[in-house]
Amino acid sequence: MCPARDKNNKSVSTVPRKSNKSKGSFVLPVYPRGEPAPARKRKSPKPDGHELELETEHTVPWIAALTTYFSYAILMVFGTLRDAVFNVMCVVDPGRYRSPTPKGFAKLMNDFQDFYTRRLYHRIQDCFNRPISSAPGAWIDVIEREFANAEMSTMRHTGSHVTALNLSSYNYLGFAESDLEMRDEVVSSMRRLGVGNASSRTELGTTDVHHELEARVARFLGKEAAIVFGMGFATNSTVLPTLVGSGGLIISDELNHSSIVTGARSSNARIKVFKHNCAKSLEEILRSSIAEGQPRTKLPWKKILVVVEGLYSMEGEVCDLKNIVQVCKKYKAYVYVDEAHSIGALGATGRGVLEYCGVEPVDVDVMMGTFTKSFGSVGGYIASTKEVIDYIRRMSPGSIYACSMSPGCVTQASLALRMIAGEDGTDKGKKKLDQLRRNSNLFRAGLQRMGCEVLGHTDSPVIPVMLYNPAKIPAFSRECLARKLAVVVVGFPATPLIKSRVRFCLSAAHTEEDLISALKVIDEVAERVMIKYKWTGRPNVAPSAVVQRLSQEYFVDVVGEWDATHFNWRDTITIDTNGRFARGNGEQGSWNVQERNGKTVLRLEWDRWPTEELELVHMDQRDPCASPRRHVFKGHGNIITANSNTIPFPDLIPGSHSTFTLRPKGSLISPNVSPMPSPSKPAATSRISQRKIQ
Amino acid sequence: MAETSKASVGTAELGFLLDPTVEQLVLALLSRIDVHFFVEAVLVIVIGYLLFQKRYKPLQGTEGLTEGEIDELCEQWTPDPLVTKEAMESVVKRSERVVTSHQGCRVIINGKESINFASFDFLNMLNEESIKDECEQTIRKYGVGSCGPRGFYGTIDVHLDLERELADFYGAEGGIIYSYDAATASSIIPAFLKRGDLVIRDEAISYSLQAGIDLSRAYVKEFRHNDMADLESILEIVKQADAKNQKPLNRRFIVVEGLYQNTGMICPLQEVVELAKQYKFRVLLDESMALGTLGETGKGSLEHWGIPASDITIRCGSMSNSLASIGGFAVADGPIIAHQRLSSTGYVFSASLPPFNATAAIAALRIIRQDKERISKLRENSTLAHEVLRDMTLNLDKNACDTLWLMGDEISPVKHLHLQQGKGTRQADDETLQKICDVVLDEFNVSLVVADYSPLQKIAPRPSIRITINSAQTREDIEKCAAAIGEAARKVFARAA
Repeated sequence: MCPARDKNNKSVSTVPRKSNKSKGSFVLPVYPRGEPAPARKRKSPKPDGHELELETEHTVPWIAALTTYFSYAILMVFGTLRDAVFNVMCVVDPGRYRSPTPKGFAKLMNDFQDFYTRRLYHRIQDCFNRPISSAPGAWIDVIEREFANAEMSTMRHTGSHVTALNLSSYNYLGFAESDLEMRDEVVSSMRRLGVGNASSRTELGTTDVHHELEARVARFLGKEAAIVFGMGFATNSTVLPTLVGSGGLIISDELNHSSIVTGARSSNARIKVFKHNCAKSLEEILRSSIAEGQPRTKLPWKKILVVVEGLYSMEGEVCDLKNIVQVCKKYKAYVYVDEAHSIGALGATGRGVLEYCGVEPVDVDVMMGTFTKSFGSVGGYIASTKEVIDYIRRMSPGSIYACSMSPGCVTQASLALRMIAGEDGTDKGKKKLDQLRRNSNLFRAGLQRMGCEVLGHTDSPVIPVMLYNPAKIPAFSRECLARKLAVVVVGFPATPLIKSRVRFCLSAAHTEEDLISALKVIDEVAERVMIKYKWTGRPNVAPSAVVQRLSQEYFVDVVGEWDATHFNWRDTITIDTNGRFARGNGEQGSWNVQERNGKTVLRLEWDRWPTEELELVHMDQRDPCASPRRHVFKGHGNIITANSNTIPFPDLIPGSHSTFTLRPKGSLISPNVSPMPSPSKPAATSRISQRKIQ
Repeated sequence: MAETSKASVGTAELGFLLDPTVEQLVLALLSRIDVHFFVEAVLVIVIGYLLFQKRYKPLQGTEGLTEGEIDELCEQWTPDPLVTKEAMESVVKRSERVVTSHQGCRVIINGKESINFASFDFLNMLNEESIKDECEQTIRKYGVGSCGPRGFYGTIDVHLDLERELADFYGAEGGIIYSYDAATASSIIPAFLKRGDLVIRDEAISYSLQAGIDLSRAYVKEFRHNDMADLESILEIVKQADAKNQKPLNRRFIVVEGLYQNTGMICPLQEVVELAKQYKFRVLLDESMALGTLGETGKGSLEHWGIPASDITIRCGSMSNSLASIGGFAVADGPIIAHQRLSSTGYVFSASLPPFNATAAIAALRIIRQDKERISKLRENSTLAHEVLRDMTLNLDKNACDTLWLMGDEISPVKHLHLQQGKGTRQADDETLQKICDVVLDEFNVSLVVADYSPLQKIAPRPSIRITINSAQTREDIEKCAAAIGEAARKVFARAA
């Protein structure tokens, strides 16, 4: 039973819900009136880029921390006991239980790592390395496996597979299942130039398609030159040692990817680490490093390279690049940005974190990225000045020793890039980018509304949700797969011990229906495994709307306010023509708009919650958005009026749209006493609404 | 009075604790005052003093500097450019050759067709239509990229097939594939070796292995290329050091390549294995070049030397040579493979191999198994090439300013031609050899390369022309190649003189 493909089945919930316990105890679930919660988030003003909410610190709820440590303690105790029994049995019955290490040799595997693998990881290994037998598109065929022995150390295939919604591949723009013409071109290039090259770039591995891709990448990023490598990981690990050598200093974000760590370790440079995404911490380290000079000799550093990622894949956080670049400029440090996840996924035209944060390409010295994620290919690139690229070409082991990038993959990356840049003459790329952003924000908002603890920033296609307890890792993953949802769960050592999480990666290939049904499933599973750490006891409601009339239908984009803990995020509600609506988290209800006493009222009749009545107010009359905290509900349907001949909004020009504010009945704030009467706000709302609706 | 109370305390040692009075407590305390009491009191005071003392901070570089001074230092500091002029000048210059078509051992470079003596495609798999057909099917079914690491739904069934095929081919328990050759050995070695472990390596091993050993931070010692006596003497030193200071066992590896890419020599593996057994070392063997080229059926060094699989702990290699695909692999016992799946950075943190590359490797392995002809032809070509190249070098004018000498095993499909004297610097020698290659390409339509080394490689061999043999080359091709090199060398050396 696929969640999205089974539309007729309306009763999705099989689990007792919170609402059953406390039904009736709610008043209208909108507009918390009290003081906003103390701000946990710091706002960093950015005039021409996006505003990032920088969390000062992610705090773990004490109950989660306590139970998590307790769980690990139990796992360790039992693991140790089992090991002890095994060691005894090795002596008692050496024929059957044999120590794997021959005499005279040291153990090949590190003790703790080995213990962790055998006693902790093997218990839940069915949640990782799940094989698939299809392209990693929006829907994948996951091969079913079962444990093959009592030790749970190996798994075997059962021979069947499950078709599941894929919320885990880095298929941001949906190029994993590329269109047919694209595949034709990839195949023809593979046929002409071979599957591989059996030669490195500096020998005979350079082909015309490599040159074409390099030129395209440089043009797309606004850099002088670019070089491509056959693997994203190797790009970082072989280029960093060429850029900085002994006498140099690499300052790296504490959450940088393993490839950057490997690259930095391979160079002879010193390595320092600054606090994640914190320009202030970077500045402190830069100041003290420059003042101190090299250790022992106290000579000045030859050069300092600051390495950051555009989008942190385990946190879903966008780099605070504007401030970091400012600091680096002030202290003359070079900036290296790894755009592995952000290229093609952030920015209005997909040009990555630089575009998103409003940083000029000239201010970033080295731009790195991969073709694995947004481009549906494999490999990585470095873009910089011509001089630097020439040097890397002649110096980097990735260029000199490694086999060059496979021509088929080069062509795929090149075609995808052409589409994103709009050089193919269509708007397919733009549509994909918009779809990705819409999907990401819809999904993020849906998760937040159901009370999950969601990390990261708006617009990020990577959305991690905290699980904390080790037992919830397999529970969440297995429950989701049983409901045809393929998700990625991450635990120690990829994350800190108590910060296990599930990570959703959105794609432009997902449809809104896919995601809404996925949210329904997640809602159910989240309730079961109890990860709704942020559940406040009531859902959110939309307080304003954009109405657009197209032919006989009105499009309603509802823009709402929300309370202080949720900042600057948007959500989508699908309002269908049958008078039903579904919210991001799967909550459903009936809706209608009525004319009453000269007022236009939108009735949201929730199935599970008390009905809300909201008045539609034209934005010219009132401040539509008293606070910047808003979300957008999108959908279209007929607006029922008392008299079917009268249009509810007389000044509405068909084909255009205006913004209306929805306010709960009886809580209308007159324009004079509006809490935040800001003249710029309506314009901002209307701009966003327009962008949404186009 | 004092005596009676002392006695009462003494007799009712614990009794008063049930219902103590102040008087009794004080008395009990007083009765125990002696030298011990004072010693303990002093200790308590000292501990208290230490506890409440300011935390010790090591003197930092910026200590004593005012903010203004730091500002000034920051102001004055001028970094080197990202690429310094000296660095730019130190690298060996190369002109890039753009390939537009691969047709068997014929390749079109910069619009001109030539015979390929440069790619590592020993068994002519690059041009195999059946492989391309299978790849096309895979691309149409799975797309190009796998869009994720192996752990997160990037494992596609063809990956598992390939791993099984590789393990089967090598007669090992398990196999694991990596998505790039450059990240294979450099990920495997740090997964097993840490600081404090010991590696004895051949000095001619390739960069990927060297990078892996460096990353592992293990203690490393090189032995002279293929010199078993040197290896044994190093092992003997280690043994003696062990006998002297009793330390807990550390992990020890001998790292060798089956067939050395950098020299074209075959490793005397039998002796290495014997020494490893004798001195309790494990062996890591890189089969990048040996796969498909050594052994009767192309199964690599173990088949060539007749060594059982259990004697080698880990075998790794590249799939971009004989298999003409992309990626790397390792075969070993089950637990060793399983360990890599969690601890090997290049495996865990990288997107998996594109499925069509896996298909190409599976198809190539199948061809190696079925088509024994190719391997015997390659052997034949290699031996022939060795003969004609040796003759060519011997026939070069001894009185010219320089001559060439051939390095490489007779049956090895990789041969190196070094300059006899050279000019003493890498740049100059590289330039001379490149001139020869250019003449060979321009006038004789034979493509050759000068083996390229990154300045990052610690021990890089002297520059050489690398000749790689392909099973599809004909006798005429090889003879033409040797003659062309001879002719070009004569020209270049004459010009230089």
